[in-house]
Amino acid sequence: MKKTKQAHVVDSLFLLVIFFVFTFCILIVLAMGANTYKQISKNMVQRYDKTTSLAYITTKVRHYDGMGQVFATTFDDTEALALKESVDGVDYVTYIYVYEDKLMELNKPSAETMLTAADGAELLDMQQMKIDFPAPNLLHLTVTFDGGDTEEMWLTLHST
Amino acid sequence: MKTRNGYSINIGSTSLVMIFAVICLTVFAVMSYLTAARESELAKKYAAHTTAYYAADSRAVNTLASLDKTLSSPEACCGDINGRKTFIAQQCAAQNVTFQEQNGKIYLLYSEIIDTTQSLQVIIQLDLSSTTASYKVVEWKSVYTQEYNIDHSLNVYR
Amino acid sequence: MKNRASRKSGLFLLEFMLALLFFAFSAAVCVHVFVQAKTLNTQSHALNQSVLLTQNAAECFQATGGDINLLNVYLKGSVSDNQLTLTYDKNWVKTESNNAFYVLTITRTEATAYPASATVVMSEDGAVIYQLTVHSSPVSHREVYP
Repeated sequence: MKKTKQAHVVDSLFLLVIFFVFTFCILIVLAMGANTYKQISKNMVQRYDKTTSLAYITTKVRHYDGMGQVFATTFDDTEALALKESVDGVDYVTYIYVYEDKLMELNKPSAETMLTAADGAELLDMQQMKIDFPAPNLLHLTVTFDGGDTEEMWLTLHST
Repeated sequence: MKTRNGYSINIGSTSLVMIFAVICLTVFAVMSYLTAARESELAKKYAAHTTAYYAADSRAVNTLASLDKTLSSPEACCGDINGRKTFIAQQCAAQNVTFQEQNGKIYLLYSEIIDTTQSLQVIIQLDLSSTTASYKVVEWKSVYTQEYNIDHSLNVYR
Repeated sequence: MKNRASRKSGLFLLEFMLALLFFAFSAAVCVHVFVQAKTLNTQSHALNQSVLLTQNAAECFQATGGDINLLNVYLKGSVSDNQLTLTYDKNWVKTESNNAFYVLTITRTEATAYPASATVVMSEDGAVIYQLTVHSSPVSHREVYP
């Protein structure tokens, strides 16, 4: 009778152990799947910020490629790319700059002096943007994103 | 009398755990694939747009090259100014370039289509004051040809 | 009692085996989907980087008027004949040619000076990821207004 009891305990224990091993393995597989999804999502967000911000700057510069319309300047002690245009005789300037780890855009009349860097529209995440002109018709940007990832961008200004 | 010894697992617990796991795994797999597919589509769109831009840019440079050839020709450089203007205007018309005089300045305008919503607009300013017909590129801009209407509506009820 | 217990164990084990079989099958399908998602992810990243770097090279080519040696001053690659080559490792960091995973080549194609043209190609193991054809007018050809 005792032997039968022990055999029953071993039986149950065996089933329990199998069940818990099965559940543990399933949890590991689920954790791996979740991790893969997390990686893909995180990569997508980082790459979206990078690709979209560079594409945005490219499109903006090409939209304003006219004589003297694209130049580097300082706006509210911040390095900025200035894009000038004239609408109905009034000069407007669009500043593209980085402020508090965000790529910002601010469009204002050239004569206006009250607006500051904080008044711009936040676009995307960006840590730093360095602007220089190695040649009068060549714009060179060095952009740093969250995570320290740095990219260079070169753009030609066809209008001289 | 019924007696129970030790512990036991009920029938169905394994199936429950398995169903839960399969649902979670399927959801993660589908979401990963959809995210990656959307990113891939965006990358392909951007690549296609870049290719289209450079194709338009190349056509614009080739047009500029043939205008340069026209402006280097003797008929554009020598003779009286009206004759030169007429010659240049005729050559421009043959190349789908608009010849325009405004405020005493001469402009040549043309555009190349990038895609259904954008085109590359080129404006060149001519100087015929000397014996050479020199020019400068005043504009080389990509412009929107269609108004972009953002659909702000929300699907509320079908 | 023993029969009932052993019947219950048997049933449990049978259910367990069926659940394991079904889970193994669905896990195999899901892992396949995960792998495809990861591959798509890698490919789209490669395409985005290729477009960016190819565009950079094309823009520099235009700015330099097709001068490969001047282009090399900006892009810092290796020049041979009418070709400039830049090499990148798996993480898209510029590297020496012996560690190259991705190769960007800018090949001047037109013999005429104006307009200069080039084919800019980004490839991985010989397979082209992205390419552009770019034309440039030499800056010096135009009279520049004072």
